[in-house]
Amino acid sequence: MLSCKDVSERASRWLDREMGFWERLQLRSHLAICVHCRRYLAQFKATVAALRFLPDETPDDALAEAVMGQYRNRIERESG
Amino acid sequence: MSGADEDIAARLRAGDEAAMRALVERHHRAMLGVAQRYARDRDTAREIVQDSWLAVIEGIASFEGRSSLKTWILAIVANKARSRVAQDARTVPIDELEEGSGIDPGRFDAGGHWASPILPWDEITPERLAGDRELLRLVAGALETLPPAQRAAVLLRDVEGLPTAEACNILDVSETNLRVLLHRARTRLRAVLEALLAPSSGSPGKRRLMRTAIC
Repeated sequence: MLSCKDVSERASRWLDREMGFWERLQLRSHLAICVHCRRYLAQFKATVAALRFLPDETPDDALAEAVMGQYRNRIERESG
Repeated sequence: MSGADEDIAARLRAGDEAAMRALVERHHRAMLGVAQRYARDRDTAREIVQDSWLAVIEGIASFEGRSSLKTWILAIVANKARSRVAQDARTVPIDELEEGSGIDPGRFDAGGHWASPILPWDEITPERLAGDRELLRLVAGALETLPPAQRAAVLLRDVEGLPTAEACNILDVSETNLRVLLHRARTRLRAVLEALLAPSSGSPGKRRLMRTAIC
């Protein structure tokens, strides 16, 4: 029988579908009787899902302008 | 080459400044994350990112699309970073990888059961997450609290969706170590969000957030 600690340690393998048949069965038997682990895995999954929706992180102006300056120079060299 | 990558590469070669600016905004976080996995000093990481952009600008004419544009850019950052830092900085510090899943051991009793209940966050659907800017700001803040190699692992796999093999190459770690870094990072991120979102966490500000964010 898996403990709750065992379940928390398998959360990524569960999410990434890396568990074999028996391990998955063991996990399911635990989840059937443990609401806390069901919540834990749902929250784990939601946390990872949220990462896909993060807005871009804009670089600071100094860095962005330095890069844009390099780009303009390159284009001018090519066309000039 | 994907149509989108091909289109972006063509616009960059043609001197399209808006395309260049969009590219910089699109990839900045992942690039900085990769640079910081090798160079822990923030100023050095920033210089590595800037050097990498110069290499992208010089190299875009010869980009052939054997990998995605994203992977190509991040591999450039990894190469710049590796040549910049000492050999021993390429090894992931052991405390980012050590035994255990990153969860606070105090959460469990002697039998391995939860010592205190896991409180519900209410229903969280992808649609809700996508539209909830305050929650996403919290997640972005939680990312910043992770140690560098763990943050880079989660950035490449879960934020950018790179395949495992490509993430391993860019981060110079084995698949086993990537899995450990990723699991520990995700465990920590969930714990940070739990502290902000679980009903027991208390303050009026947090309760208001709960209502607007996930109830």
